[in-house]
Amino acid sequence: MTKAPPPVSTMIMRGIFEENPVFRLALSLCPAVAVTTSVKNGLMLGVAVFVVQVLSSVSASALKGIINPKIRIPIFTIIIAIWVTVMDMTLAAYFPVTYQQVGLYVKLIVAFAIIISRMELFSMKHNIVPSFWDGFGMGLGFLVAMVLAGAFRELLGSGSLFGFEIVAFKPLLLVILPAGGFFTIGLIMVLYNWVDLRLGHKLPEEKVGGGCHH
Amino acid sequence: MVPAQAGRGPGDAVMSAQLEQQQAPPNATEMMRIAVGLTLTCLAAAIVLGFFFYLTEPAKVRNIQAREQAMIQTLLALTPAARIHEVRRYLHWKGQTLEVLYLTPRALVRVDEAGNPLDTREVPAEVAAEKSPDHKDAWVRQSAGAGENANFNYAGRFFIGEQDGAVAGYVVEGSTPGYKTWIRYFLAIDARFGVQGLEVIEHEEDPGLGAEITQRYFKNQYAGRRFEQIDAIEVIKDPLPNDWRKRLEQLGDMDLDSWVRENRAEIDAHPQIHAITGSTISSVAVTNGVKRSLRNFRKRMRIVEAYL
Amino acid sequence: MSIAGIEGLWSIEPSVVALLVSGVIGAALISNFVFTKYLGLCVFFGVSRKRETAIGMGVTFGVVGVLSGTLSWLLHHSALEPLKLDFLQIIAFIGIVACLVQGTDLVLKKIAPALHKKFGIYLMLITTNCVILAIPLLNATAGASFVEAVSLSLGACLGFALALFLMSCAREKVDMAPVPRLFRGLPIAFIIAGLFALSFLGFSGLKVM
Repeated sequence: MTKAPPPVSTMIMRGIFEENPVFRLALSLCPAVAVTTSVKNGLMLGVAVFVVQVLSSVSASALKGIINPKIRIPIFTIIIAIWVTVMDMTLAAYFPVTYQQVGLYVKLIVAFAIIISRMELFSMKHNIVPSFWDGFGMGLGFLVAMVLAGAFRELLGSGSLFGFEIVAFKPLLLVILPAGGFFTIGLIMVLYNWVDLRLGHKLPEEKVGGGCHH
Repeated sequence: MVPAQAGRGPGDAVMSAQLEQQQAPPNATEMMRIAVGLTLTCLAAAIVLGFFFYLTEPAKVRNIQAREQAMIQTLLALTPAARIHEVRRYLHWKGQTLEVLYLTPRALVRVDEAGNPLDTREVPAEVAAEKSPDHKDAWVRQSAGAGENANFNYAGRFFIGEQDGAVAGYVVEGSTPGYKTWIRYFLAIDARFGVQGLEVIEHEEDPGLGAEITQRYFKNQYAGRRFEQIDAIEVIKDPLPNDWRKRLEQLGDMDLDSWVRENRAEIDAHPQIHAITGSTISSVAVTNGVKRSLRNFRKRMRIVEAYL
Repeated sequence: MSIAGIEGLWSIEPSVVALLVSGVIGAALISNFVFTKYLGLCVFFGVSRKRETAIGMGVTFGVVGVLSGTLSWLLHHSALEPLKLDFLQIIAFIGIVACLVQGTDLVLKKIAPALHKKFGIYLMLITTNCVILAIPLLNATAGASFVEAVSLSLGACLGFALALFLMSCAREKVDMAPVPRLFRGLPIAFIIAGLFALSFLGFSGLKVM
């Protein structure tokens, strides 16, 4: 019972804007605050999540015929754990320096709600190609969020980008501290809200059942 | 765009699966099918991961070792042709008595707690040439007669840089409890137990604060100091003078010997370590680590120098 | 942890109680998992709107977290490490968590249906909380002893519950306050979390032992 999937461009824009996994759905927030002290770390984890998301979405879609619906959640978890471990080993082997700083968070991708919820909500209902693009869009949304937050914090907190000196003022330490991470994400959410208002959309908070309620 | 789904929280997918389970409890055959399915999935997962592990593990070990080699070469200003030897140290508790073992390229030396030699063994060529530390450790454990449950531990290592047949210096690996977790570092030491340089290999200090220990203006404050100077060194909270900072930043672009020659007076004029602003804890941690490593190295070197 | 003495080698073996207390205080306050390690944020922002749900989640998570931390340590120590199967860490630990959640769910349903009604919903959320997975992973990389592993699990769960409770108190108040429209909901919650993180900086540098 596969529905017709939305067009590719919609899926990608959706991941970056109205359903951005970090700023809109507020899923997988831990690394968004933790490793965005520099663009490089944010980019690395963003790429890792992107790859895991795409691979997991595609695998779930490919296996949807043989997965017993009663045990699909544990199976999803195992699929994600496989791809995360593969990613973890690859990064540890070929990027040892950066891996030291984001290692724990790479392993924790397993517990990201965003990946399993895309598998449940999209991959189980669609074929491989649309699932690929859905994962692509969501993963890209995460990647964009990480790079955006990383650039903001590195620029203000260390006065550099990718480690290159850019501004010559005394950096604001606060932005680099844990607290600064929370402030940064909060402010970017405000920015998203502001754009939404300018476009005449309703804010997620004011929609019925919006946001991250349980 | 599916608005109904947009607001679903992370738990909802899991929750709905739960609800389904509650509505229809699986019967016995289905339970069997599920159990077999899960077992097979786990097996398949383990096989896939094992395969990837064998693919990437050698690369990982190689990359880590290459990085260590490069660091030691830079610290001791060695050419790529220079040879680097490793000395590993082990602690072996036999009840209440402690024995210390040193594995040098030539010999396995057993000494008592006070450092008096007990006995030595020849190291076979294949063990000395062994790349993997695990294999070396296994051989030492076996030679020491320590069983699986013995209180036997690897307890650190240092390297000897040999340039054109002469010892160019030593590099000690050390670790010190920093502000967040352990800070692991390489300390380069010359033949008279002065410090040639410091390189932080692994740390989890905060960027912009404790992470500044990797910056030249901090780590180069130890370079070019004699044993007695390091032994008496303390951390002070005064801001780093700008001129001294500029000179510290130069080390790395120029080699240690000429830098020390040029700045001898400056080094002696700044006998203390200036703490990183806002990160006194990390600064003190590194300083204590350097002092401890240097003292221990001098003591241990006197024990093993006869067997190198 | 042994301390290498300057003159010769001696080691101090702290008592089990001292290790436990210092471990718990360290993991709960000094390096609180939510405010300094930024773990478990999804659940933290998700269920901290009401004090009641925060307490429910805190309790449920505490029980499962300590159990899974202990079991994972046992598995890692008895099977994964000796057999050099470290690369199966992630799958093994997440498996333990999943089994525990499922098991706790069944047991609660059978023994105390009232409790299950109250706490069952939180059980399902635990699998998507990265703290539960971070505890065994941190223990495995640090090569912790059994007491250290238990104290880290306890401290992490206490710290998480504390953070949830504090946050829910603040958010209940903020819901009544006239917050600018752009900041309503999650943005203001993040700002509050940032302020908490700032205040938790006060614990840093505290040396328990």
